[in-house]
Amino acid sequence: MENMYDLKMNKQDLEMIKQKYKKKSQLHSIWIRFKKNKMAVCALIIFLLMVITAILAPLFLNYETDIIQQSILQRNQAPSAEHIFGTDLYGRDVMKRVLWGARISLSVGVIVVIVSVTIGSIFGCVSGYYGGVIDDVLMRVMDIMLNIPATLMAIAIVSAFGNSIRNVVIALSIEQIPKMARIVRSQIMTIKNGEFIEATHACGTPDSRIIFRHILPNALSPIIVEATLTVARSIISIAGLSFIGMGIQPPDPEWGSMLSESKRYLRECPYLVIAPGLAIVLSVMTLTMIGDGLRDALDPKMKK
Amino acid sequence: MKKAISIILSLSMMLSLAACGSKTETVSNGTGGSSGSSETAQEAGSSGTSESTEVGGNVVINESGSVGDGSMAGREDLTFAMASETGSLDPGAYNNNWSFGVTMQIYESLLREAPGDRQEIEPVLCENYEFLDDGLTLRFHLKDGIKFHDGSIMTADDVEYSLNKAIGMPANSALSSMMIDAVKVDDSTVDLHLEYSFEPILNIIAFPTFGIVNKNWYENAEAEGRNINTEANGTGPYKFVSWTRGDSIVLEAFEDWHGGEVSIKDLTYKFLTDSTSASIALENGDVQALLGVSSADLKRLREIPEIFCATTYSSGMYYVGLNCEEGPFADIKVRQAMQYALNADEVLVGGMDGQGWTVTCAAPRGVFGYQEDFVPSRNNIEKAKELLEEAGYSDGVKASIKCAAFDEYLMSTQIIQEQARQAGIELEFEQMEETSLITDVFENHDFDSFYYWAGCAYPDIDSLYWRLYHSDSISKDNTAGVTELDDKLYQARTSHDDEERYELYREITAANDENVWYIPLIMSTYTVCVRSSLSNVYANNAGLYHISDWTY
Amino acid sequence: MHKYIIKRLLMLIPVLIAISFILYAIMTLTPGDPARMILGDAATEEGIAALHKELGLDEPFLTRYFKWLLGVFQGDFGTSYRTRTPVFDEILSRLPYTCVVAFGAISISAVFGIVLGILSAVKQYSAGDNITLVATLLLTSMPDFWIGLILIIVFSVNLGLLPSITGDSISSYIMPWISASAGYLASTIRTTRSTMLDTIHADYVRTAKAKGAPPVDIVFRQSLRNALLPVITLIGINMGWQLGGTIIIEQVFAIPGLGSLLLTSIRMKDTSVVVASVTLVCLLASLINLLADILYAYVDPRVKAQYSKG
Repeated sequence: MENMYDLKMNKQDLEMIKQKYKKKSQLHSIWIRFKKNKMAVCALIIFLLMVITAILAPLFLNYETDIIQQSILQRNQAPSAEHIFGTDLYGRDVMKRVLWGARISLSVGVIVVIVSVTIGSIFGCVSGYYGGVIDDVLMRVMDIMLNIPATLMAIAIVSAFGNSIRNVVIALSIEQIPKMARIVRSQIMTIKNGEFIEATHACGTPDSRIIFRHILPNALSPIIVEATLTVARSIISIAGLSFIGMGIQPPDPEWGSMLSESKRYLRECPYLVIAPGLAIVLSVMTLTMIGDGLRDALDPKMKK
Repeated sequence: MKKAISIILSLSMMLSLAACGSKTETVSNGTGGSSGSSETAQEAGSSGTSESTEVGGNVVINESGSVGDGSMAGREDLTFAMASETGSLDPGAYNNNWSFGVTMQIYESLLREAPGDRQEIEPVLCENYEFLDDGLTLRFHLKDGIKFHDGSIMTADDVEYSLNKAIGMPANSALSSMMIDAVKVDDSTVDLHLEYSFEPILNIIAFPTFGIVNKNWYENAEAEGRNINTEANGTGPYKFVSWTRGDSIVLEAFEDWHGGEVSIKDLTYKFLTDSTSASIALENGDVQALLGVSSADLKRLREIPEIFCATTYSSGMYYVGLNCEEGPFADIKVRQAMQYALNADEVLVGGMDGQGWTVTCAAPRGVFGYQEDFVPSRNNIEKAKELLEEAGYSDGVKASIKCAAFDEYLMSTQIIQEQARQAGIELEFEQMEETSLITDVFENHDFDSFYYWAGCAYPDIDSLYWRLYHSDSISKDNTAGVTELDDKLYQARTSHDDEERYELYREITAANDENVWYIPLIMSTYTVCVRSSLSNVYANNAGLYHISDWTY
Repeated sequence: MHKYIIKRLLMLIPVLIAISFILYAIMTLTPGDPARMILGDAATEEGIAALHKELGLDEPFLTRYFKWLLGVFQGDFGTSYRTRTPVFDEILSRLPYTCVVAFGAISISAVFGIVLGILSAVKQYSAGDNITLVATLLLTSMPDFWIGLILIIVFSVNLGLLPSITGDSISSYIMPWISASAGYLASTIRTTRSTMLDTIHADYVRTAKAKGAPPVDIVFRQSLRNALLPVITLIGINMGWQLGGTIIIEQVFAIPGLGSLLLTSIRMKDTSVVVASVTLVCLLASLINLLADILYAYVDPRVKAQYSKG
């Protein structure tokens, strides 16, 4: 039988055990704190439902027959038992298109987040860690990017370089990168002066290792929160761009372009405006609530 | 002789272009060519295809002008809403409806078309005119005592100057290519020299871009600190008062107008870019006339008794162009499959809310030579699939379709895209700015397929057919690179036998149906919507409305 | 402090030049010919060539850019290809509409935002507070153009209460104001509420309370000033965004403001107008941000000290 007080136990083993439980309890306590926020949990459930619907959509909806197939004779029909939210100007069922639209909005949001988190973090890390001239220059560049109103920049890029998802993602990412960079930068600057970092310096660890293995993991919390909010912002941004005709091309059912199509028939079919709009509101709202909940859970000392 | 013909033809092509308004954001407003032959009123929306279902526009043409219902008798102000802003007050600077629609109230040309009949020409600033030298010279005998808004009297110098200026302006280069110059003969006579005799010259002179300006006023504008684009001094019934950028232009009746007193004294042009709010404004009575609504709103406005929609045929048609030299459509079977896949009725209903008609050939209804009873090989998905299989594409074909980013194109192209998909042709949708489309398609031939519009200069099918099918076509509209129809086109043009011409055009139409160089589909109306209380409002598919004729 | 302000102003210049260069390049070097657009269907080769000469489109890109830039330093922002009038006049005629919408929206969001935020903070955890929180959440999640569309349907189309064309009357701006201010209203409420909560619970306020200061006094004298500072910055940032972000609102309500001028000019490839307006908007936004920062500094001596050092 192993005696806890058996001093023959390896110091390294002890450390390992401590670490294992420490990590687990950290995640655990985060989750407990998150759970306390009922609204956030509700939002999480709803959002997960949306994601699952989006991913599984091809199982119960057929892209060709349900989403893009037109039925001109049935255009602009009011909501009915058969078409809960009515039909659009080409006779397509609005509800099904809205459901499918989740795939587009969410996936674009995710791509934008990945791009902006990656590039933003790199900028933020370099800027925060090295400080000085590099910091000044990078922050000026970030300022430029922040100062150009996002819609303008997106319109300029898309109208010049063409209407494609790629260009829209680029435009939206440019909008989000400076925000991410700032957050990362301020985190880095706070952490880098901590004692344990001094220790790594003393050990002679290379800079990149310091940044990636020691500083960054501790800076994760605000990055994660910002990431959720970035997805939310992207959803609205892309809806706005599609609304003015730039971005997702027909016949794909992006929520913003569905709203744009319905504008023409605002008087005959006002109900066409409801479904895509609600979808946007719901997805953005749940994401924002999740983000807020995460913020509270990850670091209870963090201010709202 | 051949040279003369081709010059005439290029001319007419250009005339059509000029006479046609430029594309607007909402409705296609083609111009040029009138419904010259007495078309009777009812034109059902559905075409002659055997499979048309309950679709169709049932749009009615109003040949006669509006007859006021007297509800606003005696009213003297009019607010005219337009979907786009005027470009410039200089009559020759722009030739689209939004510009010349305004300048034609301020400036006058020597002649004008009679309301309701584009073929009848009335003298305005001249007593009469005559053709000399076998039609190579057009002589105008000017009226006396015509005042400009600033009080000065119009002289032959002004007319000479104005005509020469108009000839030189880039916006007129198409229209004026047969004109050499204008020369003052004496104080009341001015001659216009032409390179060759050309019948439609009178319509051209009547066009607002040849408005007469005051030489001194115009020439010395820069020196005296005037901007000719934002100020005006003409002989017309209305003088310019003010221009609030982005919002409106205000005109008021000119008391010394040589034409007498006008009924409407205060005229305001308001720029309402949004069709929904513009139509609400018309329904509320906030504006009394409206040009450029979307077909969705047009459809509703027609139902309202307080609104009169002066409607006529547009001067052009919408078509799908295919790249017959490279790409998936180089194979004739694929092109034929594409044609069979399309259902023009659905495009009309879905893309244009039924506000128009389908067409059987590459020309609008109402022009001589329109193939009324031709049945194009459309609307047969099974046949389309068969043809694709024969061509070796049983797994489908991938291509792209380009269109300009305006509702009138976007909606129809989506329907076309979907119809093609049903047959197995997957079209990638590429919407772009109109300039880019023109560059890609007409200059660089960089396309698989595209959806666009083409208009007639004057009411003869030749004006479009020559553009589209003749190997010498200067306008570059012959994107299909057709070369085998030159003889037929020439013969049809030079013949004076209507039956022979009709038959030749039928053969050309059949050849297009067989080779599918273009797929003509639909055409729109040209409509101005006014309150029913207005009278003397005539439909005109060049967009020429003389408000001085209108009265409550 | 003055050094800081001057430094910021000087930094603006290269930034704006960079922005203008990038935009000019994008407009000029990408396909699409403004002359074609202007002449429309009537375009012939010679007509296009003539117009090119007239508008100066036949010169190489760098020449055109530097000519334009030189003009800017002399106060001439170029001429619009579309209207042949000076760009400055074009912008000036459209700016008022955009400003009315932007300033109106910011005022609404600032006033109501601060008031509601304070109320919410003071009555934390009450029913009103909770409702406010949910409402702000809803507002930030709604795209402004959607709010606009719904307002049009309800008020213009169905009830016929508000005019749907923007023009002379103030009432035509009500719907654009509501749509444009919604998001910023929400963020102002939230920020005000949270900063108020921070200061209310701060030690020095508790001390005052303990000493017996009346509640109203606590709210207004001790808390408000400190609480409002971050809000000022927020308003500054929002203002900048408003100026640039009205494009979509202007589309929905057909407002002939700077945003719609921009869209038309981009479509027609009217380079000078696009570059000048965007640069101008960026300049205005930066200046407003600077103003907000200065205001902040004057009110909060700690910040002032920080700026004076840098």
